[in-house]
Amino acid sequence: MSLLRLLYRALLYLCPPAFRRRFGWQMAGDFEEICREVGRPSDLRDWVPVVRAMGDVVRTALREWFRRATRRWPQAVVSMPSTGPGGASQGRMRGIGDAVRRDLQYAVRQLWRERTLTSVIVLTLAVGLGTTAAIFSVLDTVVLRPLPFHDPQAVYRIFEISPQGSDYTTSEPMLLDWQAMVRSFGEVGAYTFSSAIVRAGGEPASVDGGRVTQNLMPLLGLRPVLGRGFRPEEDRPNPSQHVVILGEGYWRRRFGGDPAVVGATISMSGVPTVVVGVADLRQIRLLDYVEQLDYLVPLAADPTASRRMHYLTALGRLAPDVSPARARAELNGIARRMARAHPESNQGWGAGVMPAQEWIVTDRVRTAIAALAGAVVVLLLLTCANVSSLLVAKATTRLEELGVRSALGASRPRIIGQLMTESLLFACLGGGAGLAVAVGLIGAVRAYGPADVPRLADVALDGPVLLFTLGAALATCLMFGAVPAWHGSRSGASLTVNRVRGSSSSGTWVRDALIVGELALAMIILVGVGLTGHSFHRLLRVDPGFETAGLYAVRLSRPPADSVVDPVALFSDLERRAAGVPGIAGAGLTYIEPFGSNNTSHRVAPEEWHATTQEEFLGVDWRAVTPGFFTILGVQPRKGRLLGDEDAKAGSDTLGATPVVIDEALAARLWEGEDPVGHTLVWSRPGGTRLSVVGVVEDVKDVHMDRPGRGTVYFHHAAQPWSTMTLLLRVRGNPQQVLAAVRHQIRAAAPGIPIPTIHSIGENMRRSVAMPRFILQLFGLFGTVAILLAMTGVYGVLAHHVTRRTREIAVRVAVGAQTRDVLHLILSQVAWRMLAGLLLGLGGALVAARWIGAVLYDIEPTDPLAYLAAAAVLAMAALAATAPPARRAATVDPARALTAE
Amino acid sequence: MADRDRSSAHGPLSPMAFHTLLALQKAPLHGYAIMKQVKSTSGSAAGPGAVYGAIQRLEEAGLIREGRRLEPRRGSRPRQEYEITESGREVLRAEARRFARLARLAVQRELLPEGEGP
Repeated sequence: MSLLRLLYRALLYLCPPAFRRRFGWQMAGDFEEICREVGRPSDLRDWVPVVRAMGDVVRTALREWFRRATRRWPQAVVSMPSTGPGGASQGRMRGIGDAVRRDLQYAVRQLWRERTLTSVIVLTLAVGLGTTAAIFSVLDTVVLRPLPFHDPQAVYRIFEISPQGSDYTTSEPMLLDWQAMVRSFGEVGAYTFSSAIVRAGGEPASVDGGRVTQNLMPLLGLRPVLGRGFRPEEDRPNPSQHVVILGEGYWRRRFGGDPAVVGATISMSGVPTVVVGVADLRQIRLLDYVEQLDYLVPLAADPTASRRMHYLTALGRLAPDVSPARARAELNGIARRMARAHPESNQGWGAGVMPAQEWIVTDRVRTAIAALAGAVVVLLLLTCANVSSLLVAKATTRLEELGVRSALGASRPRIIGQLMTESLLFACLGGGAGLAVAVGLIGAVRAYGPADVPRLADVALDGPVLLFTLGAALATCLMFGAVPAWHGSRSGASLTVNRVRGSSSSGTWVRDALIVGELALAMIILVGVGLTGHSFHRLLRVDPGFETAGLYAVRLSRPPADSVVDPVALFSDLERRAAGVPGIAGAGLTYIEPFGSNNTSHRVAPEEWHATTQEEFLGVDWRAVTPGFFTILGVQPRKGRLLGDEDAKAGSDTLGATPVVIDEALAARLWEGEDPVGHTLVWSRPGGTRLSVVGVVEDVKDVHMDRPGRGTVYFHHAAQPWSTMTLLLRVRGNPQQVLAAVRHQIRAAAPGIPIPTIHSIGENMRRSVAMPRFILQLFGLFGTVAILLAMTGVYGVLAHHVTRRTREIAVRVAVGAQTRDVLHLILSQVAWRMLAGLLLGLGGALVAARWIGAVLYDIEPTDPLAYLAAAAVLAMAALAATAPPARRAATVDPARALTAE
Repeated sequence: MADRDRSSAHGPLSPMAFHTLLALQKAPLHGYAIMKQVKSTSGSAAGPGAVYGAIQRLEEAGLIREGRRLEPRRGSRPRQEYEITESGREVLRAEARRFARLARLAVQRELLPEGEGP
């Protein structure tokens, strides 16, 4: 049904803009009610009202355009006195109306007579414009569209800058200071990630959400769809009542969209909490690349919290007439004051601002968009070039007819009008069919596109994009329809039948330029396909360092009510029990789920560096694991040993250091060419915890496939206890049965534990390459369309060429030319154009490939394989397109061809 | 007499326009409600496009005007109401008289028996 609504909205674009602006939204709303009344149709007849409403839009569009046109005609007639007889404006109008009708009828007959060419042109327009409009709509919604905030340009991210010059999130007391002192920003709000165990009626479940200041939603211009936002008194430590706003999606999933939930009390991590509202949290989700954001609770910033804990993402709305530079200066002034007041934590710290848009849509994403948008533009150009060459080819065959009409006394405006009518008709047919293709493609993308590409479900046909593509169709048709119109009418009566029949070169160079241009454009796109394809192939072959088949992750959280339970003992017990379930080949614990879009990192320095400032510490990833982690992933020790149960106690080493294992990447980074075993690392800061390296293991990729690791430190989880852990399981046999048994075991062993969610690691990994895959799919689509268009172009020009030279070929055959000679004659026509197109395209692609470099993994933008493959495919496609006309030329029957005229 | 003048100035109303005015005669309505009314009084369904086309023309002729804009509430969408103007009422009345005259004529010519309802 939603596809139907989309189609209806698309059809509304057929109506004149003024009418659509006034009534479009009302009509769309009425259509929704019609759909709602129809409900879920069981019978074909139930569809009648829906189909009738669709027809009604088309009729309305025709009627309204006609009304507009007839309303303008009288004025047009007054300024063109030579047209039509004098008399009442009513009469004039009828005269012009008749002429238009005659032109239209004639144009329809003409198009029908050349129906092969007509369908080729219309199909070209449909595929080219439809794809362009659909892809641009997708790009626009997924990546280009400005943040869905109120006045997004004024929203800035505010951050702290460490003495070493790195950007940091802020602390709770600092946020309060900013809120109290800053004048440059109307409001300063903040966000941080949170998670809770929600119990509402049924089983407890672990849910991810956010903590926000009460002003964050108003600051971003977001309003709850139900209930209210937070009140200032609720955003303080120890409020009299705990409140929550539920995400709309979560509210629908978990509470069936029941409005009575507002006002109800649910248990969040054991705390009774009142639901005060329901809001669309997708916008907030943009602030933090989390997969799910199902609720918001007040941040309740605590002025007594540590100033060293930086974890709040702060946003501010810049006051009118304040420049970012002034805001930065003011923030730094505050930072200096704070450094004096709290030297132990704030000495040397500064602050900065950046537009939220720049922060959320990163450079990397922007470059990727530029590459895709560039490809779409090339595709649009290719479509226009193709249609132009077909129109020019078509027009040259019409010169004779136009000459005759002109000789019989048709005036120039009439002839131009006639040709324009045909061009318009093409544009309308092609544009309409393109619309259908676009709507279909968007529906397909929404239905079958990767589920985790953000905002993909919101994709709808984009109005401005649609208008732009339709405008391009119209401009192309009118411009290249106008060339012959001009020629044909200028030559007037002097244009004789003989001149046409001779080798008229008018339009030949245009055609040649167009076909060369088409091939060049197609080449550029195909190189793009080759590059993204090759890159993706490399990406898929990246070895994460472990086998993903049969590997599953279970997220475990400590039961909320049972805070006395030792999580280490609980999780270790669950690991043991799970390993004993029949069908489980191994179990291990780790703090973060592989490819679960999370990472944990910190800073270390080798003890022998004697690092005295934090600057000298290096950023590394760390994992809290059990010995089973290495076994289940099959991670082998390269030097020293793996972690064992004897390493479960922090500081258990003989020298009081905590035993850790590091990976080869870190070993190479810290102790190139040395044996790291026996060395000691300092954790976090000068004088921090000491870690003794007991072994070196293979590198494991568990966050990004496309980035090399920067080194990982593995602890025993008991040395760093966490209240949530991920249980990794290797399943042999039917995963569903085995996992159900595991779930049963967990519930039996720890009844209070939230329902564990189980993910397949292979699935996680596939999702981690969803974006590159999506880009490749889009390029694949472009490539297919580009090949088709190039083939049509070559075919069209050559077919036309053969038709024009049929007599000549017939004469040659009559005097003894062999099939081979004829083929040579025809193919030589294409050969140099093809070569020119390929070479030009090669040059263009080399320039364009710089743009695509940012989305490539492990290959250069000059990857020769991609260029060779593109050239080969294009050459083959072009040759295939020459086959039918060449065959026709080779089988010309001289007797028939020469007597035909 | 005034009725006749108005009626002729607007010509005979199209069936769609007549049923739209008829629908609005009692109370202001939004497009969808007009559509439903038109279906019940004319016996045949009209799509949204036909209704809004008629609304636009009637409005240009000054026979109806935009009324309240109903803002969206929970579970509903925004709607635009339309109401009949005084001249709209007059034209509707004149048109109804014309129908009545025609009906009388039909009875006089014995096309219809006297008193036959629709």
